[in-house]
Amino acid sequence: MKLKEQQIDRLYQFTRQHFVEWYDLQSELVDHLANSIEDRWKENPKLTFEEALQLEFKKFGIFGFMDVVEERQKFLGKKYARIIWKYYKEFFRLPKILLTLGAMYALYILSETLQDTQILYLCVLGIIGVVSSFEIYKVTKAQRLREKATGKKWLFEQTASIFDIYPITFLPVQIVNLSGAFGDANWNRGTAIFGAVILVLFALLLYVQWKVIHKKMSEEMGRIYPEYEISK
Amino acid sequence: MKNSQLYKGSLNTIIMKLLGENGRMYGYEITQKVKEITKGELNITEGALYPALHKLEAEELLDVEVEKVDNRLRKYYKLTESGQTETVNRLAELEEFIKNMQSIVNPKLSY
Repeated sequence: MKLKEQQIDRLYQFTRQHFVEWYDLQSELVDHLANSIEDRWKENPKLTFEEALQLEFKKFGIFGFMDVVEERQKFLGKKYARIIWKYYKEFFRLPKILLTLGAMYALYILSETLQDTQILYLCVLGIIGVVSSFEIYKVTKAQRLREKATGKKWLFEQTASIFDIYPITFLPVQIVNLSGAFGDANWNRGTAIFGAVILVLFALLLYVQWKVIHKKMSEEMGRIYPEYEISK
Repeated sequence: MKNSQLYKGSLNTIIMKLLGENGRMYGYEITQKVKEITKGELNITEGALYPALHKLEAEELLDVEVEKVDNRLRKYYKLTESGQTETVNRLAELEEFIKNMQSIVNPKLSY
């Protein structure tokens, strides 16, 4: 006997009740539960749906789906880190590397012309901050709206958002501080070069994470899950 | 899983070997196949299977396809190219391990 549509819905609800909020993970668990319930019915047709479900859920152990969810998050995190790194490295090939070097050089020249690192670099950092906050806001808002409309959350999106590069944010701030400490009234060539390099690399990292990777991951999810395409 | 400590280290290899033989499979199918081959002796638990599958997927040894079957979504796993190469390596390692264990456990049989 095959499960009916409303029983499948009940399984989705059951996974939600047991702290699996994400549709990509829910659907795999729902299929697993559905298969095992159907097999149980072959052996014992008298079992009710709920009885069979409870018996099958017990097989996941006392932590239920928690282990599966936790491990999934961990591995997805690793996967994103690797993809981000891969695309980041791509910038260090021609012709993108010329663009990167060009931006570094332009920033350095500007600093030399103005004979200033601290205020200039602080402004650049500020601009990076404002632009990236705006981009992040746009992405997360679109996610929230989609969640609301479809009732589906995607673990891959959540993991992509929490993948954390913010500790690195302190680095450029330190550079700017450093340039103040070094500079006094004098402009320092070493600090200017170092700062320009770090700021451009930092901007690039944010760009890759929010513009390139997010798009790539959405495309990949769309390829795997037709549902994701539809709800986009 | 029966004797879980002994089997644990080989779970990934078991999964990859099965996928190598059967093309693409979904999670539940893998547990049933293992049960069938070992005549019920080896029972892969759900709590071990999915983390293992997801880990192999994250390592890009497995690729996934999702299809709608019987009014629900089914996620199939299959070996990627690097997964196929890795399966050969891991099976060779496992065989080596079995051989060594055999020499230790039953020295008379080894040659």
